[in-house]
Amino acid sequence: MSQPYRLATGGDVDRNQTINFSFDGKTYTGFSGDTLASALLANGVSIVGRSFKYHRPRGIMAAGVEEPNALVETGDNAFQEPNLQATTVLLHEGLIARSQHRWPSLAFDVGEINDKLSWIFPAGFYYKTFMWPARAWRFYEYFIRKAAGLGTCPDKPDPDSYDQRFAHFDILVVGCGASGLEAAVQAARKGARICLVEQSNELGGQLLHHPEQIIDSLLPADWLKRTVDELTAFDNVTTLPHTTVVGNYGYNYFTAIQHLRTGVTPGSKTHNPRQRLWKIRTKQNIFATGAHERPLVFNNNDRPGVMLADSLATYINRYAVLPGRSILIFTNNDSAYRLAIYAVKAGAEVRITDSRDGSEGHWVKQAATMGIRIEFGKVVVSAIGKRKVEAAIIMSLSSNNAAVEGAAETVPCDLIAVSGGWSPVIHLHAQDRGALVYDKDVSAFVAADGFEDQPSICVGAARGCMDYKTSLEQAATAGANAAFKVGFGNDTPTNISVAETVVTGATSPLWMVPAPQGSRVGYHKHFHEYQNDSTVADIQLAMLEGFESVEHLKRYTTTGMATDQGKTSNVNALGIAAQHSGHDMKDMAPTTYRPPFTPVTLGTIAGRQHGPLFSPERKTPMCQWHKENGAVFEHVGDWLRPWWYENPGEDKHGAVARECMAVRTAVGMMDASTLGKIDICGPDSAEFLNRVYTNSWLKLGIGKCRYGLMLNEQGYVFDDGVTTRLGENHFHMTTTSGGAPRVMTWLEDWLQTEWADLDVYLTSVSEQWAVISLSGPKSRDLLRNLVDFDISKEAFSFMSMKMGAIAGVPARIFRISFTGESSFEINVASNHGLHVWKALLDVGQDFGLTPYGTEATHILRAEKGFIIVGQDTDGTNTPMDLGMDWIVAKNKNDFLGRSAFDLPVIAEQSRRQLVGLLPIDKTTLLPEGAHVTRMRDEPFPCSTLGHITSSYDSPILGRTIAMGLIENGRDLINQSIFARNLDGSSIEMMVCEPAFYDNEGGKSRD
Amino acid sequence: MINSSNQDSYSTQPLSIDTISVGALSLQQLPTSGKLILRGKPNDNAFTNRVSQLLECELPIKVNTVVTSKIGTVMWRGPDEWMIELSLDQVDSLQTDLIAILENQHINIVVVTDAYSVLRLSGQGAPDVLSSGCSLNLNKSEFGTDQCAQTHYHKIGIALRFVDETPTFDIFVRRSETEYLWRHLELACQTNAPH
Repeated sequence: MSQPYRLATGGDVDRNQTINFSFDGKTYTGFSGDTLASALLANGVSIVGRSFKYHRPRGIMAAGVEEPNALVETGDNAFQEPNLQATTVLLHEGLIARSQHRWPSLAFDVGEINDKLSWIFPAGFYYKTFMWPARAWRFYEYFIRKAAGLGTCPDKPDPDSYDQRFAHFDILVVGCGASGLEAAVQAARKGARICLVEQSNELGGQLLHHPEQIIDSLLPADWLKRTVDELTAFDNVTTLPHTTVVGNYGYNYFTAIQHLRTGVTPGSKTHNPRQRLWKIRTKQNIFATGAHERPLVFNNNDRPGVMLADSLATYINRYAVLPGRSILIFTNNDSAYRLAIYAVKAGAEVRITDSRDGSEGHWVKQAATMGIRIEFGKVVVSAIGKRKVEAAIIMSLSSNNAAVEGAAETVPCDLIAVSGGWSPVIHLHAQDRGALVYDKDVSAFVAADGFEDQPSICVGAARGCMDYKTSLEQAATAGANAAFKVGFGNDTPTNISVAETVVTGATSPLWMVPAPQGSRVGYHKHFHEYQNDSTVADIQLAMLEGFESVEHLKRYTTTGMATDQGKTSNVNALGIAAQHSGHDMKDMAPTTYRPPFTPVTLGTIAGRQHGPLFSPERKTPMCQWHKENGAVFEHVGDWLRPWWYENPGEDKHGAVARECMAVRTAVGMMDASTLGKIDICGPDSAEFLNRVYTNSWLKLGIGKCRYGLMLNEQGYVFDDGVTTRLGENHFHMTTTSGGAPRVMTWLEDWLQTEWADLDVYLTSVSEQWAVISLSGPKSRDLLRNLVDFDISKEAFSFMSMKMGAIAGVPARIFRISFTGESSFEINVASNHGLHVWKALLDVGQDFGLTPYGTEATHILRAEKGFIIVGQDTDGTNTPMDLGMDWIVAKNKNDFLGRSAFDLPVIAEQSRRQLVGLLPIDKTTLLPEGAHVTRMRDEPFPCSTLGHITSSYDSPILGRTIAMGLIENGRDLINQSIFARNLDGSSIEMMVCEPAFYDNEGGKSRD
Repeated sequence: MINSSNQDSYSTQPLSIDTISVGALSLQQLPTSGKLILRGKPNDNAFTNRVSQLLECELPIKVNTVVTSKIGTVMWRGPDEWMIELSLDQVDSLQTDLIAILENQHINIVVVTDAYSVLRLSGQGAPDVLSSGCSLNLNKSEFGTDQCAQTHYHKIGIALRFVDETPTFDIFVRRSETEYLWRHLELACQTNAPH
């Protein structure tokens, strides 16, 4: 029979919509509205997974995010996703689900041997076992890695898309049970902007399975409809169902994960993302997050068929599933009696074992009236049945809860429903370091009172309030108050919903059921933490070994460290520890709560920022031309720059050599638009430059360019570039491409903080100007065809600037050279960049004009010994280290970095200096970054003289060249030293001046 | 690449595409507008009066506000910094005029016409599209008529200007980062267009 455990009537499922799904390869049916868990239970599937450590068969325990056992894997191939709770996976057509952590099958699992051997796996097993002998670790590691982890990762990229959203609200209400809805309605009525978040796909919380609860004389469904309708009518309310607030990062900043596409077969269409990460900023927050029911801890309490009582009520009333026929309820509080009433009405046989002495509560009396057998003062000491509960052994509990006594009775049953009390969901409160106190009435930790001035408040069950009437009052007040605090209305709620309330008996804490005298297994199968298989025996052993602090205890026993973060286990574990150490629970403190509340898919965090949109790719105005003409690109900062241009049949080496030779013998053209450019204006501009550069700027003529070196306060080279005087009080500075933002910030920092007396304005114009560097002996002849002014050597000298027109558009042309050849840096408005580039190409055909990339640039500049800041420098080099003493003005009072020159560390002799290096074998390319030693065969480890910073094969020189930062390098000129390979071998090289070509510099002045 | 209609034939905009529409949302690369950065001291009456006279509007002194005049719009960018957006053919003359009337004052006027491109995002859901990468509070009560702000979209800096209640936003983005912004916004439009 299909779905044998489905009730004939009732529930919120749509029986007209049958849904086919598979679990471990077998096909089943469920209904629309089911979770995977409810559908599996309806089909009588009792084992859904194996536990992590002992591989014990495990079933479904809960009905929501607190589920510790039922972790499954869904989807195939790239859509495969591990470690999903069957209780939170919405059933959809074609859903493929698999159990985890079993081999070869769920029913027969080889790892189950661990359960038999559990005595050799105590707490701290790994720490104790694999510490010796040290050299055996590699051997152990192989097996430990294989055994580690829950589930398996897909090995293909995630084809789904994910969205992100920043949002600002006045008030965040988390949780849409009765309390959350009431708080939201009250705040919405005042006019505040509200974000209402519910982790389930349906609003209503426990009201969805407490059908008898009357509010405002309405049945729950009717009250919910009325309230949700009222909320929907407000345009100041944003409701996010199926969304979990996972992080409270303080200062009213939250993250939430919204499930956008559940119940639909995954697809990768971009407009249909799977999840959305919300980053929410608020002013006031109300946490109506409810409470999680706790299990009771007894022998074999993890057997499939042991379920949380209220979760079982959820399956009966919300999903119309009764997964057993004979139910033994084991409780220490009144709430489980409600289940008894539902279960009997659904047709089950029910018997109740209550550890308390008695209760006068309403539901207890009602259960008694219905003829349900209730036994007080008794406990379940053990569950019987391995793959499914078959019976329970019950005994009497001693008056001090310390022992069980009397005769053991075996009670046949197919479900054991447990309720150990309720733990308020205080996670969001606690993540922001909200204070917690132990509340005896609730027998759990709740938010401490006395912090009413804080922007967040817990209400309802989340505050430990377990009856609807008081919860609604609390929520209404909190809602109105929050609205008032953000400036809407007064703090008095209006038309508070009134719930009918009933008398309930007190909860009597029972952290663990004592093991019977002489029990062979003792506490070794009393599981308080299911997912990591942590038992009472583990806690007891850990405490005996001195791990008394709960933070130590947690890590030693792995309590609360699994994917569920101990939602069902943490309070029980503390209770067990308190009991063992003789402490009062009020002296215990929970371990630190940290985000996320539930696991978050990495894709959601990445959002759309992956692949080509991972980071900005800045493109120059000529980028498209480069793409269409064979450019191989490299990233320089965020910029995309042509590295070299590959002609058909060419490799990198050939292309780069061709480009270098074109510049040296004819003319080349490079897109230098990425250079940082800063417009500097104001009467103190020259003085400002005088302070930020090492050389002198006061007397630079208008229209003249000068190279400058910028140091940081430690005297180290920070950036370099050419600055040109456009007018008396007006300069155009260039910076390195990657350094542009850093330099701008640096200069603004000095102007705004230290030198506020200087009248200087800085404006970034990096993007205003496209820059084309035309370089080579034929550059002038070429350019002459396109400009409207005299560019003869006499009229337009090296290191000067002229304005005029090129190819019909305005330009600033600078005679600056980074190649050592006669060069013109042509600056035009960016939108004109492509036009001028193409115009140059048209004319350039007759001159052998060759576009060249950054690799050729690097070689050409290295041949000249020009540094690249960041390649030939590492942030610890002075101008003197770089052999650039000539650029440090001797007659200036001060400049940034000057005072550091007097420090002994900078003045000392044994600093690393930039020198040229020529491998003895002219074809050997020195590895960049290689360390350098004085002797050929100095054995490792040995001290290094320094390292190779730049190394190239120079086409014009027909040999390899390099530069390096070498200790006292200038003293070693004309001597041999050795670059060391990783294998210990050496490359002999000669130290030389860091300049290899046209050392007089005549060519660039041509 | 195609040239926009009001460009001179030598100009190329960063994107070859001009407009996309997704449902009620439209995203457009606006034709190149003229843009000037004006720097000067807001507490110097000689400066503010002369500029106001020339622009025929008050200089916006209030943080993140826009003033519109016959000449164009003036956006506050900082305590001593404004961006003036106007038609492309008026940039040079305005620059010349500003320099002339502010002679001997410590000011700066820089043409940044080509440094920024402007994308216009319009339609119901436009704030949600922007909020996919921009952390600014874009609720109408917080960011509306006559407001502008320098902010970010994912990993790049942008400046936003509220244009009208459609709602329409103009997004000023560095020329080189236009394509990055466009590709992100295109995806965000597809996700957020009301179906």
